[in-house]
Amino acid sequence: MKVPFSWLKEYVDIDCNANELAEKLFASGFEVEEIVDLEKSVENIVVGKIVAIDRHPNADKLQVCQIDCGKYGNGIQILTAAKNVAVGDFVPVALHDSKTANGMHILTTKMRGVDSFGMLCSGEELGIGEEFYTGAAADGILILQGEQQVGQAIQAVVGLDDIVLDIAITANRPDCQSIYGIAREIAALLDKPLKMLDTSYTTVYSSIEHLPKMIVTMGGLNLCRQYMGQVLQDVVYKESPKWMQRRLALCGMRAKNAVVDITNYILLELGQPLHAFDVDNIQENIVLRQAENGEKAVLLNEKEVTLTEKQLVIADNEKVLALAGIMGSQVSAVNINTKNIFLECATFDRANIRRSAKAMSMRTDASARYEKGVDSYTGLLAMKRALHFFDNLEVAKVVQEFSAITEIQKCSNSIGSENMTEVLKILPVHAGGLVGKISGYIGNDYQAAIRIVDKTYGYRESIEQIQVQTSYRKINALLGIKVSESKIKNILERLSFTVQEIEGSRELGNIDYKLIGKCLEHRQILVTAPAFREDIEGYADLAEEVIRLYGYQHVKKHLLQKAEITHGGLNAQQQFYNSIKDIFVGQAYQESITFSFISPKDYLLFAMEKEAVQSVTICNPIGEDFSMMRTTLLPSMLQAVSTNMRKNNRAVRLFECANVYKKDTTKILPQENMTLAFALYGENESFYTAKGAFAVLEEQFALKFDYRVIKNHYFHHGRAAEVFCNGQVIGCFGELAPTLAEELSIEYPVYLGEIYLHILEKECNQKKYFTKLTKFSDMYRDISLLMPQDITCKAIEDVIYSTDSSITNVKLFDTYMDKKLGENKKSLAFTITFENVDRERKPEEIDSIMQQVVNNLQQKLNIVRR
Amino acid sequence: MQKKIATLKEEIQIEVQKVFLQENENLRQKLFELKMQFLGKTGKLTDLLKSMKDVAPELRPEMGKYVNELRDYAEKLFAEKERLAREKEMALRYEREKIDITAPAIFQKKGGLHPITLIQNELIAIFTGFGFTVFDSTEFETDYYNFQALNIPEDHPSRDMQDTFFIHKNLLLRSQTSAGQVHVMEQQLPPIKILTTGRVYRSDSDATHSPMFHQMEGLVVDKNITLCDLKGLLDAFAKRMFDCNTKTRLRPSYFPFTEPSVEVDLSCVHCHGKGCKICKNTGWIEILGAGMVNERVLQTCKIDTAKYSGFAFGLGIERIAMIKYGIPDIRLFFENDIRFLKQFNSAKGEK
Repeated sequence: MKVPFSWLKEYVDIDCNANELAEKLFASGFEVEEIVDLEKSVENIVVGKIVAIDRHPNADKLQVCQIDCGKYGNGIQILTAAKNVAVGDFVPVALHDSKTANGMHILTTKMRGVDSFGMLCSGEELGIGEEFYTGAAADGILILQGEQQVGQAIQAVVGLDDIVLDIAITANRPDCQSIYGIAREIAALLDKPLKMLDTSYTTVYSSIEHLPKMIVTMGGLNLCRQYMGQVLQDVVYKESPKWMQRRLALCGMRAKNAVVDITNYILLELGQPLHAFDVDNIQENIVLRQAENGEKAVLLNEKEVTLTEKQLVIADNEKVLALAGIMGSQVSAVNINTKNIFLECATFDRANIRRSAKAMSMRTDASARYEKGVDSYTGLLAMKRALHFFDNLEVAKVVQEFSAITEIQKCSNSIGSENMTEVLKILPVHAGGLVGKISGYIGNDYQAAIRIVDKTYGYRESIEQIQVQTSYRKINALLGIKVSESKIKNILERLSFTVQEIEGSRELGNIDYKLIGKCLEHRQILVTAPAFREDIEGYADLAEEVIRLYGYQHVKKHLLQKAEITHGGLNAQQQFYNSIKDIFVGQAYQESITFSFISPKDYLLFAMEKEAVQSVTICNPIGEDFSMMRTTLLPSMLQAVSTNMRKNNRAVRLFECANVYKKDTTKILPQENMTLAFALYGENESFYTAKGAFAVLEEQFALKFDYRVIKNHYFHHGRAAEVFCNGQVIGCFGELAPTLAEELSIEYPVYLGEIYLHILEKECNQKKYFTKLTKFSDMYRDISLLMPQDITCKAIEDVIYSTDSSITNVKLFDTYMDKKLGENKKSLAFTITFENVDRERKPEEIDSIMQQVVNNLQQKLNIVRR
Repeated sequence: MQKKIATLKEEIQIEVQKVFLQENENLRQKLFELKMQFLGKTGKLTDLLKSMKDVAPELRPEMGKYVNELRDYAEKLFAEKERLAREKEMALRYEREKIDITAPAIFQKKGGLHPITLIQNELIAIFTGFGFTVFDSTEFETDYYNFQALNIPEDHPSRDMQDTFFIHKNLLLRSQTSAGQVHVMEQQLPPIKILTTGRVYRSDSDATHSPMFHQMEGLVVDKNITLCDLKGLLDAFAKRMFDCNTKTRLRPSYFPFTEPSVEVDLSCVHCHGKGCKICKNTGWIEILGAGMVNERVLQTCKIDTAKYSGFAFGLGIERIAMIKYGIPDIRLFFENDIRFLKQFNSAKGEK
């Protein structure tokens, strides 16, 4: 939020500079994101008076001016091409070595042989428009008005002597979304009084023939906490005063006409959106109601919108006049011919405005304020302040007869919006008496409260204010330090809270009395929040108010001084996942992290129709490629591989440990299953190096996996396996199918696989236990076998193992294929390990087992020794 | 006899010399053979010893002494020469067998963990040391756990702070790990000290925002927990995560689920508070949000607020990694270029 320093000073006597103020605001929860010093937008530009003008000897378009710049010299010669200067004019003079707002660096120069010691400036070169200075937008040099002191800096003359603070307001402080609101906060910070706003105005009797009636319907009641209306007559269509235009401009708003400018000014000053309707375009009644489904309206931005009953509208008997809190319609807009206006000041339901603005994809200054929250206290103040400007600036006259305020509390609507009953009418903002009256209650489903208000701030008492009963000690117990009672009281009162001490009260409960002393008597206090602080809920909010003004530097550093000691650490599952990651790191795999999303295209590419069906779909994704939650990590893994290939990285091993997600029809939440995916490519990689990912797990967790042939769309049909552990599938891996590789322009053979950790986890024993070492050493025998090519290694291993229990390891160490061996034959050589658990075996015994091995192989697989 | 001894001595010297001059290969073998010629069973010196019996008995002791002296001399000489021969031989062998020791080593290469995991592990190590356990919470959440129970009702403006991915009206991808808080408080009784860490999702994507990123949430609920405990713990964390000279400061902020809420700033790890580009010349870097758990949240979880209070903190792991490792763009984390990933496998000195 942009806050001009000079505007703040209107309400508080600020006795520090903008930087110091920014620091104080920062320390109390308001971050000043930027400080723009307008004074520094130009440099070395002063007021000068033109004392003589001559024609340039060599150029028709240039004039040679002699300028009196006071202390900077009389008779400074400056050339200009502008036509609008005359002797006696006061003009902005950019002296030698000066800087303009648009970044020009002005130096002494020669133009067609004549010296020019600077430049005369236009409004644009000063960075100002009409709202800063009349004539600033005109073509040519800015001619200053009246008699000016020559040689003075230009900034103060054209209104650039200001600083704009850009302050971030947190969502809990909508009351600070205005200049007056932030000034109120600054007053508390600096412990200075806040100046009251002038809300005085006079009223006239109406000369309007048909004054509209204001009707609030049941639907309207639920979506609007407070609705005020005021009719003004004899509108003068004119510009607002310069000071007002300048402030609007400093806050980033453009001046339009006095009526609109006043409403915008109030929006900035008090954070209350106002809307002006042309009364003569209102048919009979002003009705606050829910829109009808399909109802249409053309808004001020010339767009036609189609509404639903979820939207609140201001309408007359025939048409929609405004989409409540968001934008007015074109038919009711104030224009050059407007004679009378109906000024609306409402406290719409923030949730409804938020929903409607979102549904219509329209965010306006007004809707943004409503969404953040506008309090009902400020409403009346804003209305009166607006009427003050209308009256005081002679923009319009305040009509005595039509002035209405409704305040609605605790409404519950069980009846529905069809019951369009005229329920409330209305009492005046200014008259002090009841003008309208409630025309009827509908059952007991709602209560409507109407309050009598007078011309002063007396309204404050009638607003329900939040009260918190607590004690000084409770506040200190949350902070952990001891702030004195008087300091707490002082801080709260500076922030417009009232603090009442409740006599003779005693607080019980679980409190460490030693911390505070022996005193058992703790006075209860009743703290009343100011009406504009709707964010206060309990004593913790008060503690925050206290500490942010007292200063967070007073909070000490304790390491859970009074808390119980707890044993921390990771559970077995977390340790298991960590150990898996460590194992892969130990195998030269690099961990990667990819998005949990998957593209429907990936399911098509991998031909995973079944998976796609189980995948959870996001209803508001950032793009189609991120629109589903992955049921497999493989496509993302492949993407990471392809990224690395594009970058010409030649040997890559990657893994990722992440959840995959599946719909679960029996539960609210989808399943989240921890899965590991790995991929590898490079000169030294093969199907068998990929298989290492599983083998290392077998070794680590003393498991035996079963590898079975798998054929699917994304793996090479001869080089892929599904991996089983105790009869359950725990993973799969293989060479990427050449068809997919081709489609993705992947050149190398890539191997990839997936391990279902959530299943494997249950099979993994992490216990470690000592086994007695045998005294006898292992014995080894090598054997070379000749067999048909399609006999698997596994089949042979199984036969050898089953031959004798002393065989503890069978390891293939050589594979040989040659036509000399015979058609479709291969030779495999194994090393067999014999463990001597109980006694030393003689070589002859081993030889005899070896003979059995050969016999068994012969019988069962028809394999012969080579 | 004496003359014989002298001649033999001279002969030994000459022969040994000869062998050394002539032989390079098999030097030791030749030397051994030579030794045998003199000291072997049938060697010349042995013969001389044997011939002692022919010497006159009165001269034997003296002659015996001379012969023994010669034998000792010869044995020493051969031993010495053998040593030299071995040296010479080894020198030749070393020269023959030498290799290029600057050629690359052969070793089992290690991979490495992702920088996000490294930071996550470091965080977990720090906080488990303070007695925290890690609570794994789901990535899918209902609106209740992600928002309502955290004091963020529907249509609350603070929902704007985080654009959430929805599956349907009630089911969403958690936008903050704070969602885990409520589960913990529903399942455990105080004292509670937990961390929840993992993936979170927000509909946002640029150099500093990613639709998926990682957060860690910490929660402490016990008797007598104060704002001072929060400050102390987070200060200790910062000192261990960055360096022991790191300073922290609290400043007021707003989160619906904490009250009071604070933003925790860190003295800039790059300029140490002097002011630089990274800290935008303020000397401070914002690293996490925290606060005392809002009473409403505790009450929602049926925790007795008369007895217990607590604090919570939440941080972005990418942010910590970016600060600690000097990574400029959040997208680098998810690109998985191996050249990026490998950078964090080994230490790197200060520039």
